[in-house]
Amino acid sequence: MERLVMMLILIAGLLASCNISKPVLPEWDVTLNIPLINRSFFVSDLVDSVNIITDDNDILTITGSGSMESPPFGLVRLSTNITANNIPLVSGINADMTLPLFDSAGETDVSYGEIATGVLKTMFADIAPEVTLIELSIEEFRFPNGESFSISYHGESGWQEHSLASLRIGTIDSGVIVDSLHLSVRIFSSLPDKVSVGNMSLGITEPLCFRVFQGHLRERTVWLDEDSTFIDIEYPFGIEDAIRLQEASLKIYITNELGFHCTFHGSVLAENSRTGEKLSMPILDENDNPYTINPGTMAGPSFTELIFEDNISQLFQIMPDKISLQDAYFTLCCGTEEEVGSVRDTDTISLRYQADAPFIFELYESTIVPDKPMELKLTDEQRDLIRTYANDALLGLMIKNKIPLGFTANLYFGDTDTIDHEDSSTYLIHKSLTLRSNKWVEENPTHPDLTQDGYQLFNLSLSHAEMELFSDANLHLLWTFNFNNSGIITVTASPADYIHIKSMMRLNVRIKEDMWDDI
Amino acid sequence: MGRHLILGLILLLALPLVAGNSAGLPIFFADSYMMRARGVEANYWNPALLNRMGELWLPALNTGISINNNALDLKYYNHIMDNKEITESDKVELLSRMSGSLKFNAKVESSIVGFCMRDASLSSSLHLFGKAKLSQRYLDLLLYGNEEEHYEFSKKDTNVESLGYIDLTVGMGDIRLPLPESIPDIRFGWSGSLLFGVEELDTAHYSGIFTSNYDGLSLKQDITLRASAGGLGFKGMIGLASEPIENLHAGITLDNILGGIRWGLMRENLHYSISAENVYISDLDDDNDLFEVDEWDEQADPFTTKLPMEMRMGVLYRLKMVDLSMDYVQGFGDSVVTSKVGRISFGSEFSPLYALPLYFGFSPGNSDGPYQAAFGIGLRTRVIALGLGVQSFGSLFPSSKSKGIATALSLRIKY
Repeated sequence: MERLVMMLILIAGLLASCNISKPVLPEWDVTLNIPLINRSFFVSDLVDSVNIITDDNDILTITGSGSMESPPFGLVRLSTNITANNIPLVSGINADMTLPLFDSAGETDVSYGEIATGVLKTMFADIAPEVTLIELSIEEFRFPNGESFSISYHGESGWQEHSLASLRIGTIDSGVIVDSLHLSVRIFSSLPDKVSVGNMSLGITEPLCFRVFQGHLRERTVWLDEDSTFIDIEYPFGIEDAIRLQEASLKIYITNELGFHCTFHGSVLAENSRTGEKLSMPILDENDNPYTINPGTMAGPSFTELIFEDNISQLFQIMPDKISLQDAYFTLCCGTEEEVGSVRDTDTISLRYQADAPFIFELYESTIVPDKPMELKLTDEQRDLIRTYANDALLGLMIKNKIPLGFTANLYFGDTDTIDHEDSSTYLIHKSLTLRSNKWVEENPTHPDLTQDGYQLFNLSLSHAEMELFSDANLHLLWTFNFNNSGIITVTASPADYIHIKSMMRLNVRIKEDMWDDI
Repeated sequence: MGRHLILGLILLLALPLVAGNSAGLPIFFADSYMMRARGVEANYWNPALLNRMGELWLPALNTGISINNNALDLKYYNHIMDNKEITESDKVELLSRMSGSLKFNAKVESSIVGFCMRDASLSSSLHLFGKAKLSQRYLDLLLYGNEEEHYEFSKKDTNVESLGYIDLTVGMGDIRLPLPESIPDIRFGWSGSLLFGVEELDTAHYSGIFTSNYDGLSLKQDITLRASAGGLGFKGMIGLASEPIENLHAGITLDNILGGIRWGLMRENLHYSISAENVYISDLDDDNDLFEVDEWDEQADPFTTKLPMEMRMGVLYRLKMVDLSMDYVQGFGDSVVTSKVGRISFGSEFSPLYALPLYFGFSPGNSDGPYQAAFGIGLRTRVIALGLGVQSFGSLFPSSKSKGIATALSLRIKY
């Protein structure tokens, strides 16, 4: 019995030694490999059809376009001063006379016109009481239905004004200049013939203004609206400091509603607002003469295309962000005596212009630096997660570069917005990677930094101390780019032009009990 | 502590009322018990040993409960909990404790009723078995993270299965084989069990792939669990026993002959599928879930849970106050009740006083589990035999270093 008791005591003692600790979730470190991204960035994605387009050869092209238009031509004015006073009127005799018609300024000859404003003044004096009617007609003035213009005297006294508005002068499309007016006066009275019945005075002393005009116009200038003479170019990624474009063209499409030949005058001004550089080029043909613009017709406007290439390329050497047409205007050619022009008061000259700069450029040793660092805004929760759980991290990148550009990217992280990439005291972390161009990859297929299928491998590591910066509320990033290539580069935007990025984050985190609540 | 001990004993006694009952005494010997079985027990261990012995089993009073795993023990658990941290050395040790997977085993066997008269016996017991495996690769993932690009999981290393049934067993033994007198007597016995299936859970399909690399994060996890209840089956056992040399007893049995349970009352396949294909963080937004989870169930066709045959050999050498035994068991298939990995075990009964026997058992570990050491004490008269025992896994004594523990209660009434 004593042995049994001893045995039970022994068993009890063994069981008593089983102290079970309170269960808690322990902490430990794990490494998480997290795929971040697998995406292709096509050059064609840069095409916005506004500032960047592709040409027929898939070459990426910076473009800017705009349009300009002249004000409506307005009424054509013929300043004449026709007067005839005290013309004797005799019964039984029709008085025919001719008065010269010319522009006192010598700028306008009318062949045909639809009068918008004009006044004929007449005065009949000392008219015998036996006169019952006096009719005055002017052959060159006709109503729209073709009837001649005439006025009648019915006993009025003093000067009478007769509107010439809506009357036509001359014959449409005849090409014959109307240089005189033919007047005819018929007198109806009970007096015998050849008896003086009074006298007549008339005048057209105010300018005749034409809504529709055919004839000659001399020394006439058509100005363009200055407010619409700008092309703004936005360069992607601010690369204008690092490249010089090699080719460019400016195309101007002119629509002329005026039935006159014109000469196009003006200059193209390119401005780089960052550097302050300006370069101007007069718009002249190969003989340094102004371009002549064909006339429109009554049936429709004329279209003229002007293309400038060599000279414009020079303008693009300053990588302009603003291109404007300066002092652009048209001068009407009066033509020969046999050739008359035509114009309506609503006619305009408009032009559309497009500046194209293909991405054929030469790279320069220049660092692309944003104006100021960007602020990386992490939420309080995200910063707490990093501070509490993240030990270190490694960002793995596989990049396939199928474009002819290679570059070195530098990332500077700091806790202020005064990061200066040239002053290491202003930032806390500096990471760098160099992406080779596709040409380099093709020439070095067995390079150890390349995979068999042409991916470039990169690893960016962040130590625990560096990770702590990401828990700072004032995290700022300044990135800079340096292009590595030299020589002339042509960037196309075909489906084969892309950068493919695969990325993995290797994150060393500490598993803690509250982690699941925080995430 | 005494209160705890009493409570534990009460629970031990009460548990069979909940879970069932079977032989408890074998646990005292780390299952080196084939040649020790007498009376009703011989129905299950070697029917050849049924010989003119009257014995009665009462419900719940012969019970064995065993729970163990192959890697974890209380001391190590306390070490982690107290430190509140899993260090790099802890990780190495934790993984080194597993041989491919973390394995859990649970077994409850409890007698319902049994009696033995002359050379025959009729008995009934409840058997509950449970096994679970978790691939070491999962623990590897959990402790180290996804340091490797590709992880693959299969049913071999990750599965769960359980089986519960009640047997109604009739056995007959002590049949002497007609052999020449020059050959020692060899006795033959047989038993047949009608099996009433209670429940069955089986991992019908399990496959998992996890990759995380530059091509994205991909996950494919398919699980099909087959659950069933209400089955009917059979298994048979034959055994031979002999005493070739005085005091040296030897025997051999073949169990689970034609063993199987046909499930027909309730059968269901439960499918769980989790998948994610080439996922990148940049592709995720509020509208996208990281994983696609699918879950459905379907009625399964009637099926049979086969119980692979199992061979057991044993010897027992008796002296006046002590005996020694050795058993070797070899299954012919893996299942929740058998293993293809052979296991050897040793047992001893030390009886300086007939009324107060002491029991010892030991079984070396194998790939299925750690070594086992068992201790028991009995109180017996010519009518009643009472025994209490405990078995420790992975530790010589039940302690915080044990990776599992088994306890047993045995009460037989002889007449």
